[in-house]
Amino acid sequence: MSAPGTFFHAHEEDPVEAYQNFKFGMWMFLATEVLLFGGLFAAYFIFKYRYHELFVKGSSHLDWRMGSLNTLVLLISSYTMAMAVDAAQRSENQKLIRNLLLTLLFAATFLVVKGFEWIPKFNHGIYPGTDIYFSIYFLTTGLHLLHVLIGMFFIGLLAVRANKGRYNSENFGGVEVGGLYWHLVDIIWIFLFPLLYLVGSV
Amino acid sequence: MSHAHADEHYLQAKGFYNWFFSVDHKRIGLMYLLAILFFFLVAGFSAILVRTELLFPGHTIVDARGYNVLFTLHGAIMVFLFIVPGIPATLGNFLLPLMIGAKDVAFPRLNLLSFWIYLLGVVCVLYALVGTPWKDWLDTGWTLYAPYSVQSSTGVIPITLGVFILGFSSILTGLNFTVTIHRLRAPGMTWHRLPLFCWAIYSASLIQILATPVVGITLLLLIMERIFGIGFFTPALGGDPILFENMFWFYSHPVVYIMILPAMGVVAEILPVFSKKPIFGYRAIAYSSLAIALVSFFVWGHHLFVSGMSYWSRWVFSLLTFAVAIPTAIKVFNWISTLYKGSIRLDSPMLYACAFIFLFTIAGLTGIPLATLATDVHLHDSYFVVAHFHYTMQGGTVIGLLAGLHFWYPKIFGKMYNELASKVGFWMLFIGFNMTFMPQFLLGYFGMPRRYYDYLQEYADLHFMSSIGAYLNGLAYLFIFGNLIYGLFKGKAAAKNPYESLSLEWTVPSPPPLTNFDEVPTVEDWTYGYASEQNA
Amino acid sequence: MPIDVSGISEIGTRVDQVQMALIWLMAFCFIACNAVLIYFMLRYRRKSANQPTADLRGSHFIETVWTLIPTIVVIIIFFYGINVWSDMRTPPEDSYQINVKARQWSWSFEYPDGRVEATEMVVPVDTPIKLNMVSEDVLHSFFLPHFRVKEDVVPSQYTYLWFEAKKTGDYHIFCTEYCGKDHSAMLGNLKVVDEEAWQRWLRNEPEPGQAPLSPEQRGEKLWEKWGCKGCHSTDGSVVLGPSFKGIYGKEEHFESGESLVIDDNYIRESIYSPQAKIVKGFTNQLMPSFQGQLKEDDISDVIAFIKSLQ
Ligand code: HEA
Ligand code: HEA
Ligand code: HEC
Ligand code: CUA
Ligand SMILES: [Cu+2]
Repeated sequence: MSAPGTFFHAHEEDPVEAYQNFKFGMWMFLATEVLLFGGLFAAYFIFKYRYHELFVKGSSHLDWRMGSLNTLVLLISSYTMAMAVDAAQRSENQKLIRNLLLTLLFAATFLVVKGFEWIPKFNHGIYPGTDIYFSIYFLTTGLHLLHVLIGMFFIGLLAVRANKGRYNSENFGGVEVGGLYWHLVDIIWIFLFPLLYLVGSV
Repeated sequence: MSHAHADEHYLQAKGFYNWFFSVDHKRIGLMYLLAILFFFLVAGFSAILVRTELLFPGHTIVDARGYNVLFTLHGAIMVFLFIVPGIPATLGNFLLPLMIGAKDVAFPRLNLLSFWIYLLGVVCVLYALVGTPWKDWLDTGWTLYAPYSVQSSTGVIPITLGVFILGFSSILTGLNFTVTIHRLRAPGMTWHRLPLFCWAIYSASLIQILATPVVGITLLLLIMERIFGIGFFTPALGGDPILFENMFWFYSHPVVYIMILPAMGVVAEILPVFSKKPIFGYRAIAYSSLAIALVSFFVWGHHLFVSGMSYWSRWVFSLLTFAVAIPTAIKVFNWISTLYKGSIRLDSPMLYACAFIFLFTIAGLTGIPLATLATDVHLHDSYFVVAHFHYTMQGGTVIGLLAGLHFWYPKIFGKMYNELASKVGFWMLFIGFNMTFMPQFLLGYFGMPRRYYDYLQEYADLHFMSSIGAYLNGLAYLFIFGNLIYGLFKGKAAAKNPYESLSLEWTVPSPPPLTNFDEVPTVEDWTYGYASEQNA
Repeated sequence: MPIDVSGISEIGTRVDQVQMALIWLMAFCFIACNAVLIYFMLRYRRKSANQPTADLRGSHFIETVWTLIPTIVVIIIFFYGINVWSDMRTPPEDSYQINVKARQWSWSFEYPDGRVEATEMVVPVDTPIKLNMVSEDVLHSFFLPHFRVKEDVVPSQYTYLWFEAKKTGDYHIFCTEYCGKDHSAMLGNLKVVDEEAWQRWLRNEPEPGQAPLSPEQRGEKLWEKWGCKGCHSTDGSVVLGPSFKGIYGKEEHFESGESLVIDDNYIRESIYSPQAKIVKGFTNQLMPSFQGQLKEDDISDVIAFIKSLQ
């Protein structure tokens, strides 16, 4: 009963076109994400310059082993995500689903490790607002965590859809674009890790 | 999907669902138009209250806090709810796909989502401004400078959240338009045949995409500052209030070009049509939009010339600010040259377009003493700045929006407004506007600070004059919008292409059918081949 | 209204020269552009439907010319402006230094000899004055319109400003950074005096021919100067704090439930540590401490003033 041109009656682009548009749009969106974190990084460098001691002291409270573990976990998840995209392009649905679930698993591992880092801090009374270093620490990792969660949601969605056989060598745009997003989440962590965990040693 | 209603025009759909869930760019554009014009009237009304308070020195209608609330209300609504979505979300949404020969924008559903997000942001902003008991109405000014905004007991968190959400809407719209222009141009519509309005929207979209995230994070930090006391901007906690200013203006300076570039695009469309001549210096105009967008990212420091920034930062920012004047100058000269040896009809769209040039040269030129260090020290935060930015935003963007509304009115609504009445409205506005803000340049030069509830007797005459001008200005708007609304109901049916324009949006019926083009048009020549003689 | 500031200070005069140059330049550009615009609008007005129009699409030569000319013009303006501004930002070595403190919504001035003044700043003529400024709460901005100088006053960060008056007289001080409710009332007065009056002022002597002020009168002055007036009336009405009328010797009740007869010591305590005892009904803790601003001598003057308000 609803007229054309409404939400559920939108005209559909040709799938190839739609895929190209989608990918282009995602690249633009990633640019905005970089700038979003860019603002935080700018704040980081300004305060680090001003309160170097505080940053060194703060970062010595972090466990670089946990940080490294998480870096590794995310790198592997990026790899499985890439494998998922590859599988989608080759229409290997089982492999696609398997890799998506693996990615999800690694993302969850990341969360657990983060939990092991955060919760003892809270127990020691360290919160955002404790000092500028920890404010930056919680903000950057918190915002990153939010991105991990959003990423997990979409990867889960991809897995469900893959399970319904939605993706194949003709139609894999969704997986590829999801992959782009996930790599960004990974890359941002790669920047965060040395800045937060390793400043103490430099 | 059904094609049964192919010849049905987009306005025929009735009912809440068909509009509120519509992914059609034209309907979305129209809904935005309704929303922003409503907020324009609200914010304009609070400006009238501001000016009424300033009629005489001392208490006139409100107390000091009331005044601060009023100008915050005025500035925040004008900027965040009216002028930033402004031309792109309304005329841009409506016209961009038509102008490039596309069926819709690249992501129609995302477009609708942007609109909903906009509404969500509106709710938050309004809650902060007027949704709480009177004593909590926001009074920080639209700039939300820390540490006042950290301490203020008013609705800083909801407004920050609201602006953050609006930022999302703005980013998504910009992203949508960028992809649309890149990917959905009709065959033959090369970059160098692209209408200048599209170039302008494109440049503005780039700024939206690249600058908005930074204000997003800044606002997030401000929220965190208030909730957790993270101490980034609070001196007592080791933070730096100037950092907030820097991050705020890193967005809020480029944002002024989000406001003005689309208006410039509108003018560049109107001038050739009404002079029956190709636009002069097409490429220079197109690329100068990009140049302005680029340079705009490096000049934010000119808002901080007296904030305690280092000597050399001020030096560099002053120099860079002058750099924006050059691409703008190129545009102005090219527009004027377009009229040379034309065949000019001075209908109301053209009157508005010419008024835009007239007022915008005043606006831009008064930016020069602000960019000059020696003089900005005196003029900063005085009424000179207030006058400068009203000339840019009202004399520029609002006049540009009105020019576009009058120009595309027959296309959008399929009706005509009364031409005589619109000319009367135009002159009321032109006189009222100059009478309001010309005295403010003098006030500022004579030292009158802005955001002052009360002022010394010696400034009384100029303030009085400005207020009287503002009333005329306000009545002019009522008259202009009254005429446009009257035209909707009683206007004559409009022809398909009353102004003999050559661009694609005029090749479809007025109002356009739901699917825009029956078949995708092929473009053979550039848009501006208006000349009747071939003598180039 | 600071319109003609020539002769008040050298920098101000030079700023106005830049300003005048810019105004002429702006006028020239504006008139040049718009005269052409209006001329074209009228000259090429459509008279017949088939009025011929030229196919002019642009010209590289013209384009280059009108890119280069503004470029050169703005570069010249830039250096012209920098030159004056640079001197404005460079205080002479031997400047007389005054520390300025801003708070919502008053100014105070601390002189090298430790003396603190509020609202009115007295300075000698023909002497470069450097102000070292800091804010106690939010952003403010110190603006001397007659001297064409201003600079923001920032919490926990010192900023400076300098000027040299060539003419005696009274000049405005404005706060030009929005700082909350009474931003527009945060005014001050700059009093430039000649050498003789300056010496007298330094020695705290009254103007010749004027009787020395009584303690009550001095107290009243302090009440106005330090902004007590903003919260405490003398007529019994409650503004933000209790009125001073008739409070001396009266029994006061506090939020804590205690009570006490108002005497000198209590008033002194109220001024130095206002939160020590909060008057019943005034839970807002609005009053700032005046420790370090009002001296002991001043306190006794204020007490005398309050006593006189029976
Ligand atoms: C649409 C909005 C818009 C636009 C387009 C502009 C355009 C410009 N603005 Fe403006 N500005 C604002 C909106 C805008 N501004 C707002 C909102 C504020 C204050 C915000 C607040 O504090 O609340 C502000 C404040 C502001 C300041 C800070 C003042 C202060 O607070 O101390 C400065 C300082 O440099 C400045 C400069 C400029 C310049 C150089 C341009 C240039 O882009 C102008 C270029 C145009 C021309 C120069 C005219 C055309 C050219 C010619 C006719 C050729 C001849 C010219 C020459 C040879 C020079 N603006
Ligand atoms: C798009 C931007 C925009 C627009 C269009 C306007 C339009 C107007 N502005 Fe606005 N203004 C700002 C953006 C804008 N302003 C900003 C950002 C600030 C800074 C705020 C801050 O410092 O934080 C500001 C600040 C500002 C001040 C300075 C306040 C101060 O510093 O103390 C003043 C004072 O005169 C003013 C006046 C006006 C007037 C009279 C109009 C008029 O043109 C409005 C005309 C429109 C109408 C009047 C609406 C239509 C009529 C009705 C609804 C009917 C009622 C009318 C009558 C009965 C006559 N504005
Ligand atoms: C911003 C508002 C404000 C300012 C400025 C201010 N006061 Fe107060 N004052 C208050 C308030 C509110 C109270 C009541 C609460 C309390 O006891 O702290 C008060 C209480 C007092 C009392 C006790 C009165 C009583 O009835 O017990 C004295 C004495 C006093 N102030 C003196 C001064 C003097 C002297 C100054 C200026 C040098 C001054 N105040 C400036 C707000 C202010
Ligand atoms: Cu202090 Cu404004
Ligand atoms: Cu700017």
